[in-house]
Amino acid sequence: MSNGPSPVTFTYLTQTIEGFEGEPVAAALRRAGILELGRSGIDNSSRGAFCFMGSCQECRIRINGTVAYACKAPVFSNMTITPYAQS
Amino acid sequence: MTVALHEKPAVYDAVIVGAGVMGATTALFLARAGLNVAMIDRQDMFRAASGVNAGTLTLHMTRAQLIPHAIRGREMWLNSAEWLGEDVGALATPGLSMAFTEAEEDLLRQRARVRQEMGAPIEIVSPERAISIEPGINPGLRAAAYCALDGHIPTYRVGGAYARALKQAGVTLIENAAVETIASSGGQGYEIRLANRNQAVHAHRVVLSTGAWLEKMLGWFGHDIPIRCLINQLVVTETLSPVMNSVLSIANGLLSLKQFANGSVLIGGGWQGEGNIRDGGTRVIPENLQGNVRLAQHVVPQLNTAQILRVWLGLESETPDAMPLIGPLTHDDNAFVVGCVHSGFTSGPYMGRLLAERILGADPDLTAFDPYRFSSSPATGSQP
Amino acid sequence: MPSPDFSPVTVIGGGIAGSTAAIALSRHGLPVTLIDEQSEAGGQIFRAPSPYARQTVPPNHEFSGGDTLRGKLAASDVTVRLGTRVWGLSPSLTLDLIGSDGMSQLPPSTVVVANGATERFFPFPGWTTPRITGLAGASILMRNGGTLPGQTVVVAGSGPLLFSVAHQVLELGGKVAAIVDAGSRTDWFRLGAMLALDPSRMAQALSWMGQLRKAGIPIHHRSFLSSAQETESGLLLTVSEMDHPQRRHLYAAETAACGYGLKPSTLITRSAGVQHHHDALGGYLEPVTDVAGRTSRPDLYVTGDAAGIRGMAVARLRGLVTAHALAQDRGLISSATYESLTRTPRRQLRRLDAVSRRMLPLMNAGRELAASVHDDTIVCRCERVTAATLRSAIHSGAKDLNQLKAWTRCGMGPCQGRMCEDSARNLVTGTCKNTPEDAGSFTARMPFFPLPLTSVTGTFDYSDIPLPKAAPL
Repeated sequence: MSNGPSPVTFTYLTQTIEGFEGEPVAAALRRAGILELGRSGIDNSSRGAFCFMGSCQECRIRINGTVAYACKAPVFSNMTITPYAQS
Repeated sequence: MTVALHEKPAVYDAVIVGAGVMGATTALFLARAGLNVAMIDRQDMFRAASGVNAGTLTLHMTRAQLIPHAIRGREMWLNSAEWLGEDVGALATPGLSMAFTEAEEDLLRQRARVRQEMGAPIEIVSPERAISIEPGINPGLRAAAYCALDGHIPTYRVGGAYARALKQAGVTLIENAAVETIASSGGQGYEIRLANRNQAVHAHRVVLSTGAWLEKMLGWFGHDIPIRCLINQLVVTETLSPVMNSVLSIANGLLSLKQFANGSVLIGGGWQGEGNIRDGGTRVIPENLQGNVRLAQHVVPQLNTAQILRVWLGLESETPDAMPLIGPLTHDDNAFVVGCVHSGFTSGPYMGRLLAERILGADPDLTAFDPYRFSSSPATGSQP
Repeated sequence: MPSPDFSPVTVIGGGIAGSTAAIALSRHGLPVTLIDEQSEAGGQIFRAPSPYARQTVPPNHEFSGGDTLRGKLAASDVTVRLGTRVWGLSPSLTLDLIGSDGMSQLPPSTVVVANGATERFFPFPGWTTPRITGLAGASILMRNGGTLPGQTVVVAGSGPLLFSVAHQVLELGGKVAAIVDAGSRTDWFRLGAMLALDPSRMAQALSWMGQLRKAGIPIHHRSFLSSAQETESGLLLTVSEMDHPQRRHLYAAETAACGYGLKPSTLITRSAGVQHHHDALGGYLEPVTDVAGRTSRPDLYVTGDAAGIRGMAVARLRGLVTAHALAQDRGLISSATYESLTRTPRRQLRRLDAVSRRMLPLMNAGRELAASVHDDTIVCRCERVTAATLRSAIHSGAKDLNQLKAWTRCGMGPCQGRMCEDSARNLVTGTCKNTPEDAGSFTARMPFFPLPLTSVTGTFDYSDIPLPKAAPL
């Protein structure tokens, strides 16, 4: 059996979020009530995790500045998450 | 049985083979002059060079001798609503060509000079002036050539606009039909045989505008002109916040960089991929992808935050002297060619219109583009 | 029997089919590299649960099956490259990769494509809000992430995943406001009879349905989500009946999950130029394969759901048969050995394949929806292209998907048409008389997903750039 999950905190924009190490970022953000992960570069509409399997490209975020997929990138302590879209 | 009002003629006044910008513009002006016109393409219309090019309206990269044509072509794009029937979204911007080394600066000045002589409003500016025009460029440049007349078009809007214009002008469009032979039909014009179609198409006149696929067809009319096929690479990024306003290039002409209204940046410049004209299949050469993109990032350092969305290749045709082929292919003035125009998208509509005017009896100066310049013994007619 | 050929094999995709094939291939003595984009093997069905999910989700077959598979893989000689994605390939099957260690290339090898399935979607007004996820997506979030998509969920779309997702919502303590199924009740009864051939799947389906009925969850058959409106606290969802469009049912929920079945992921196989055909039953494009996953290219095999959607039991069997067939093609085993090694799996495969094929029309029960989608609805999520724009381009003469893409940008965005291709195709076939074959599919282009520009450029000096000779004056 694996060990129990370790609780950690990280930030999304200015918010402090609680999550568990190794879980997908999208899951931790969703439990914190955050569904919007960015905005469309075309019409500024909200985007969020949709397919959860790396196809739709809509859950992309930046983790400490580097682009990542929220549906699979694992949570780690003190990470800083910002939306991907630049507009 | 009633006769359909729009029954197609047994023999078209003109058949255009190759549905890209040049052929389609010729078709459009011929049809508007009252001719019965059909246009044939081996695939869907506007899917080769005319559909996948960088949409550049630049004078920096056009061949110097074609500057007057490029200026007219650029004007046509900017006024497309007037002659095409809809605005295709062409945007006028300045253009900056940059030099980063001493050798490049020499080249920049040389290229600017010959273009100035041909009427391009190009001036050499200092790095400070260049940066004030375009703050996002690499401050390490030595000099820049500034041209007030530049710009770009979102290429994707062009095909549909032509489709609607041609339909309205009554041009018959025959797509996904490769032309197998064009034969003279006993003084009655031409018989055009198509792959996978039983019925041949008949026409009093034919116009070849098949771009990279011209060589074989020119041979049918006795013109032995080797057509070189360039396989130009294009890279587009995802949308990003504004990083440039003008069209950027470098002295040797191997970069074209622009940002469209939607925020995506298009990186081109004629870096080569692999491909063949048999099936149009192409493949990216990884080193050339890297080289092209490095050059772009060198010119606009902020591109380091961009994501590469797609890479593709388009086929461009070139004659041995890199000058266009526009004019009659036969002495009876019934077969014509238009193509192999360097930076063909920029001047394409103007070139297509020139040929239409020539076919309709006007006498534009096409001397430099005459296909007979490559032949020692002029052809007398067409042979399949 | 040809002389044995021990040159390398690359398996793309570490799901059930790919991992099974990779292990079997390495047992035949072949050097095998398995590439998978996730941080652990298992694919979508056997996706490794997060530490949090291990605590919140009750133990289940997918967890234990996945752990067993990962254990076998670890004990094998397979070189596993996790967190690595294929972003391009050359005609000779050099693979362009990107991973946490940056860009790399894998020289040409025999490739076994086992990259599974992609979910199919049909658009409706409001479907782009972040409150709506895919159906498979919701399942992954719950199984892999132990997290509910919302406290109240409307589960919509088609196929067996509907009931699996509804079950998972209840399991995690959430509420299912309604189940909205494009398929008819009769379809399910007919399928029920077939499922007798597959008792384990039958038992599971029956237990889910019983549980959902007991929970008193409304189930609408021959129905679809016709709109989603955002409210203060969530969504107001309209359910319409396919046969009685005037009959509508309204539900409030925090989120909705919606998906219309699966389709093979074909970007890699299309890019490699293997022959594909349109499977009318599944309503999707699939590579043409024989029972062992051989394609029109001798150096490329396709196995698992990537060769046509048949589900997890078939995926394992296909993985095995593909591996043995490849070993036979390489001269490592005789045809008699192949026959004896694959006799049982091939027999099981025939039986299960028949059952799974019957499931396809049920998964594709929403096929008629895209053609009737409202003009204002966004079809291409990336480029925000509406149905009206697509219809107008089709009327102007774009009757093939690539022309439609060229004229409207539909499918040109970051997802490369994975989300909108089915709707676009159905719009073409519904608007003009073209068949799905005529309408075709979007040309696969590199990179298969967006790449950070700096991963291509790396660190360089201006003098490193191999500038070609200047363009003519």
